[in-house]
Amino acid sequence: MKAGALPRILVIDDVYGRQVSGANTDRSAICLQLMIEDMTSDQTADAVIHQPIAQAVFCRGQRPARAVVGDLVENDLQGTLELIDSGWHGRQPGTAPWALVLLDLRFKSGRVTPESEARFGEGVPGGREEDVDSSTFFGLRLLEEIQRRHPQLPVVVLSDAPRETVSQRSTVLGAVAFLSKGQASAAEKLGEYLRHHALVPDPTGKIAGNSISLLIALRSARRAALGVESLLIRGERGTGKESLARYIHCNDPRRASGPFISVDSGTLTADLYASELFGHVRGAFTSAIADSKGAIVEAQHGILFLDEGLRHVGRRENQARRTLHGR
Amino acid sequence: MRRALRAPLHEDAGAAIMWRRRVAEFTHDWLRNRFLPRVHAWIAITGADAEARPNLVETLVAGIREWDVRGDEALMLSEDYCEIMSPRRFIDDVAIHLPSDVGEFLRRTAFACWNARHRIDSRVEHVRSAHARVDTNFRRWNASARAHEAVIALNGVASECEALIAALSALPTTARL
Repeated sequence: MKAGALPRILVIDDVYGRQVSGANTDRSAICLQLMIEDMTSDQTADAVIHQPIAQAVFCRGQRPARAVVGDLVENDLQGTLELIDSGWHGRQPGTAPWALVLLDLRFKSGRVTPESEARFGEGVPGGREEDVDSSTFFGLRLLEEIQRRHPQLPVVVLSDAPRETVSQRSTVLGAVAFLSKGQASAAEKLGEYLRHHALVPDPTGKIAGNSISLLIALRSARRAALGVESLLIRGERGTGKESLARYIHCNDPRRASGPFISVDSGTLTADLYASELFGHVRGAFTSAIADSKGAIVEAQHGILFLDEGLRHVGRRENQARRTLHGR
Repeated sequence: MRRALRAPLHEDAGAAIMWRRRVAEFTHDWLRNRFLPRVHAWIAITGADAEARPNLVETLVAGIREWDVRGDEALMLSEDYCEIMSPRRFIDDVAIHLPSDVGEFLRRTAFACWNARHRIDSRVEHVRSAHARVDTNFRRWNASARAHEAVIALNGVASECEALIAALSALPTTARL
């Protein structure tokens, strides 16, 4: 996958998003664990991940981003929402929107003291009572606002086994999944969430574009690839139905290694179309110079794309129906 | 040192809140936020999934070795648990004066009922045994000369930490009889 085509995710977490005097080791560690590249540009990368699954921008969700002993750290709803907006509607031309947001629930606020730094890390305050009250988690407040402003933006809650109430409320608010910090399979889980929920451009570049509506269509296509046997793609001529079918083929784990066979019925008569689909023996008609298995057999374990597929259905309906039902 | 790390026990309700807060600080703020990501990061580097600057590796190793300092907090939490959360403390709050032997009998009975209903002894033992398994794997990692053995040991630390967090989370935080 090209580096530029990696999904761009936003991580909102008080510990991983904070700026420190040197490198934020907590952030470096979570990047290595989740196999994500840090693109925040507030520190020099101190590790190279060979096959990253995403590029991440980290945000503390609090003011100030870099706190020292004596500073008061406060949750920053407005600033965080502005950052989300800037990577959604207000992004640079040619840049993909946030593919996904990883959101912490508990944010420690309050005064940074030598004791809090010794216990929780540089620039981390000791926390207030309301920070640990699950009904007032800052992460839930953020989640509510994100869903209100950007309902298409998938949010994965980055938290350790939340209590039942938090889990229910997060789900109601629209979180698509939970990712437990420190979980052994966290990178695999994140990869799965990216495939299933994220707004990601086509990494091959064959379907070019970063518009939110296109990325939503690609996400629907990836989901369809995982769950259905037959699929109808509708659209005007030239809108890229075959490209989308090839994208589905590439993203179908059961069929990606099989062939992609395309039959364009728009250029064939009904009889030739049937012959293309079901095959023929040598000499069956004038131009039948060799036996042909037909596209249906050739597409075994892969995908058969019937371009303009409804054109001949009327005349060959029974044949087609028997074939599809008997697959 | 172990007592120094323990938070002061105030009056009972305050002590229960403080105990829950200590659990959150241990499991969420330290184990989940800091210790386990370092463990997995070290495994990724050693398993050649990533390359890191030497100073990052040193910092990760130092972070993993914090187990030596903070790992026993799990034992302290389990030791304090019965004292703080047991309903026997409610007997002391009864307004009427009780003869000392009656009071002691009621305290023991309250604890026995609570223990029997919620299998407290067994749950506390789960915390201790999970801690011991983390500790064993940690010592094995610390003593490993070969990368392969060290990765196996540290994977053991990670999975047993999950068991430790689960065991601590399974301790009832209300004292219902």
